[in-house]
Amino acid sequence: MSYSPLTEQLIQSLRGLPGIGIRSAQKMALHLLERDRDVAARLASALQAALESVGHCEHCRMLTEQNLCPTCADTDRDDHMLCVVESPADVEAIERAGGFNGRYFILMGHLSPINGIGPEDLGLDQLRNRLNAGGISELIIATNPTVEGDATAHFISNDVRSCEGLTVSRIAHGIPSGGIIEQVDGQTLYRALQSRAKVL
Amino acid sequence: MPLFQKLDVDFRGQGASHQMRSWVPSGPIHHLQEHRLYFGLYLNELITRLWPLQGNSVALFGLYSSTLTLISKQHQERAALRYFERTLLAELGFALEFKQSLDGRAIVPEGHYRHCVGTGFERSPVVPNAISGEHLIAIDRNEWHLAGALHHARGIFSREIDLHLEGQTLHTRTLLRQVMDRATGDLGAKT
Repeated sequence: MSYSPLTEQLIQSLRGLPGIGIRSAQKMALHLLERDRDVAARLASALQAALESVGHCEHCRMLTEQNLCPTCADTDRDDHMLCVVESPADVEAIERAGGFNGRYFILMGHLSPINGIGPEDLGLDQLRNRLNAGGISELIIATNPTVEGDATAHFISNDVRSCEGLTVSRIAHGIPSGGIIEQVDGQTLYRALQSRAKVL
Repeated sequence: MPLFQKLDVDFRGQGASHQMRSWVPSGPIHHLQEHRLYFGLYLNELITRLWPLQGNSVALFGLYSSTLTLISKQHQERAALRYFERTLLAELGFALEFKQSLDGRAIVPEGHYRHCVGTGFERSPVVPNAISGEHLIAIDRNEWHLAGALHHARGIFSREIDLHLEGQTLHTRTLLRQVMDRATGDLGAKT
């Protein structure tokens, strides 16, 4: 079946979204055009407005309409600690958990050679400039405990090696609170054993 | 989906339109740490860029798995990577002839040769880029104790791989070079 040129253009645009194949794109396009034009109009308007106004925070790369995001603009936070995360969602998760009152740097991804994502795509030059500007004494790398997250963490720790007086750490990985050892996957259990903490 | 672990994968459908239904781990995890992570990602990228999407090879999978084991145990990492590159090229139908030069004569230890990318080795006078027959024979026999054998093997297989990449970028190679530039140790020499 062939669609009209603009419908086909919409389908192909939706296919550009991560995880959306041709069938899902067709379903979404047909739903928006046939069943819910109000939602389609709101989506188009919101997308247009976001594209025009949303940029990256000058300090942490969080998506924001201002030069600085609310977290970076908050003067009550600890300027000596910087936590590197992969995505804005990670910032939200850490903020929900509490216990960290420092600053953030968002990579917006991780090293992924197969997908062509290298250090230059993660803003590592910006991270280095921020560290070189001084004032930060501890860098906490909170990339995901995946192969790509590990490679990213290793790359960053190598990259900042020359920053004098900087403590670099990585968040601990292991068995979740309330978890049952026999149900934990092998990789997590391995990491938990590797980073075991002395109790006596 | 975890990397560097054998999985049993269940697919639905056939041919190019098949979809993954589920997967379960079916083997131990190869725990790669620090620079060894990049070596593992390098193997994955080589396969992704060069191996046909629907192709399968039990031999190559076995070699992939054993190469990961050697890398994770820090046992002859460089030799393992070179052997993997050579075997991958051979499995793709691009095996290099290390026993004879392009004129059909046997490669001899006292001879010197020039690497003709994509075709093989031709006899050469003793010039800076020439490779000794002794080195080629060592590479062919996987005898890596000869000084310079790994260095020459790295150059030979890199050039061959570049040819078959047909302009695609090998991002892990760039990444390794960047790590090498910044690390105090010479990581590039390790690859």
